[in-house]
Amino acid sequence: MDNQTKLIMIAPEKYIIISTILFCTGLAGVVGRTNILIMLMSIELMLNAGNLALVAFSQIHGLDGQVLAFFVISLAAAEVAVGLALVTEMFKLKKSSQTDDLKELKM
Amino acid sequence: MNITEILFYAISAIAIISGLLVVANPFTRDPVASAIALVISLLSVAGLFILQGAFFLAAIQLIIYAGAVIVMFLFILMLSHSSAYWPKPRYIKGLLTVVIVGGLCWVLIKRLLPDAPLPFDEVRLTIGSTKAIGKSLFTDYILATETASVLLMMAMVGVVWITKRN
Repeated sequence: MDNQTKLIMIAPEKYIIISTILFCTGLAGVVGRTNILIMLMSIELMLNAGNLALVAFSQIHGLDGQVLAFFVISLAAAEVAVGLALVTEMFKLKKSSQTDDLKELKM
Repeated sequence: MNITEILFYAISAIAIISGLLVVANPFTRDPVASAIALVISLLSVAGLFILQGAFFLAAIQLIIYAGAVIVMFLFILMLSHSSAYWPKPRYIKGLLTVVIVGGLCWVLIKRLLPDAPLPFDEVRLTIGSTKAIGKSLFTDYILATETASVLLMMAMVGVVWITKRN
């Protein structure tokens, strides 16, 4: 039991700081890159950072955060499936994965 | 500094560095490198889950994210790789993004955290078990579980419809 309690002595704030940094990294990827596949990967990074924050808060409030993180993971799987299907359609139409090539709605 | 702290800092550094490599790789602009960096970042976050006692989530993370999602990404990347072209990086836009998002990150870290340390239960390891999560999923969160299953079903049907229609 002593080993088990010693294993998780790290305060949740540190995990939340790591989660914030990862989230902002993913946000920079979504805003700054134009390759649509890298934008999808950055969205995955942001969802994962959110999961890390949820698990860190579940250290304080009980198990609900981990259950919510489980739902976020299943949602991310659904999201990436639909997103990649749309990317393949875009690639069929445009022969490119750059968002600069999608300008049909531009005035 | 005990072994847990060393592990925490090492895994966090790997997670953040590989997360940065996903977004901006200084050596190549190949998205495959980003996908590999994403795998490393997801595995590191699974390690952080284990350090917090969330073993079930760490296993799910390994199976779904590092297994299924990344394999799908790599499939799409490899299939669309032949005629892909990468335009020149736009340094002004990149620098602006880094400044704005870095400032946002700084503000979040500075202002979001409370001054007093958060109270946390040090014996969370025994509670974060698979049995408790499963019991919670099928009693308190049964509606959310069913909704998630419907969502996955709709995603599957939608993907088939999107890619198969002519």
